[in-house]
Amino acid sequence: MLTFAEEILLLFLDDETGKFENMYYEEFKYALAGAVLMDLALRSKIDTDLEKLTIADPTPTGEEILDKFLRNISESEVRKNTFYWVSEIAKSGAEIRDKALDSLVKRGILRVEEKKILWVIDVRRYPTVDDTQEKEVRRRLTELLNSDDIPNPHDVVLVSLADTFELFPHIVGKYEAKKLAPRIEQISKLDLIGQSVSQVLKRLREIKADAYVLHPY
Amino acid sequence: MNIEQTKIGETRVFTPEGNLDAQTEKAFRDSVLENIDSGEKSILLDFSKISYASSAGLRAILIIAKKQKESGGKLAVCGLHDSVAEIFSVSGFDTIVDIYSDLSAGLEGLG
Repeated sequence: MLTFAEEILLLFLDDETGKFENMYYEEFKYALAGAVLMDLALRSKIDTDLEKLTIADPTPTGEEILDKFLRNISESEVRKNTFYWVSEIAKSGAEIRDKALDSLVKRGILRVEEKKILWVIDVRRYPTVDDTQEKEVRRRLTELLNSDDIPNPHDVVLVSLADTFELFPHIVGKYEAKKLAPRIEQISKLDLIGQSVSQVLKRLREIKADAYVLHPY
Repeated sequence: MNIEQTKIGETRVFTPEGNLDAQTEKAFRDSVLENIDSGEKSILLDFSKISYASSAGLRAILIIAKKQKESGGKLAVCGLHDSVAEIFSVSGFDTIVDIYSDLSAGLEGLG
């Protein structure tokens, strides 16, 4: 079973070029942080409400990267909210991304391709080898959005992450994404951690916009 | 978690007591799902004795609502305390399940 970080990476990757879809790492790391928390929540390790995030079960999941953050949250002396933990875990975004990519390569879903740009700059890309999992995720999400079915918690998380990071135009096409916006919003709202990820990102974009107004060049 | 169950007319009413969170959601979820599996077509979740619900609790309700819809049955929630009503509203659960003010309104709504 793929982790949310792995699933969201597959949705972000362009199958042929192996490059990430229009996404700045600065924002992408919050998607990965949210994915980690959502994985811990769906494995009943943490619990959240409108104000706080608590440990429900500190025993390890067996997934190295999840257990690292489960430990961090368990050892935190002061109880913090989801907004705080999304920001904190995002600091390790590169590590989460690299571990998830390694895992996808080991499973034979992606392959590593090393290239040089202008004969000097090393670039690593991840073209898709086996797109079965990714196609299945896209098919499931498209079917869900076009129905009035009640989603399962797993798909709520994926819709929430994909919505926050504006992936639906890429998944279902721009026109469909616009048409399906009310349904996407309805499903996204169902996940409280997803809402926190969205708030962190909104705050980050506001800070960037303020900085641009003050220093436009 | 103490979960009271009664049958009123055609409706099976569940009245859980305490907090609906990661520690208690499984017992609650299993208890309701068991009834859906055995063919209950009308289910009312009376939350008048629930003082707190977390995201884990909401996920349990989502799973129950999905299963009941797939089985062709009806589901409603009633008696939400203010703090629980707030989390239902913020997370948009009021668009997924029908919510009634109290037990009698819930029974009438499922009628």
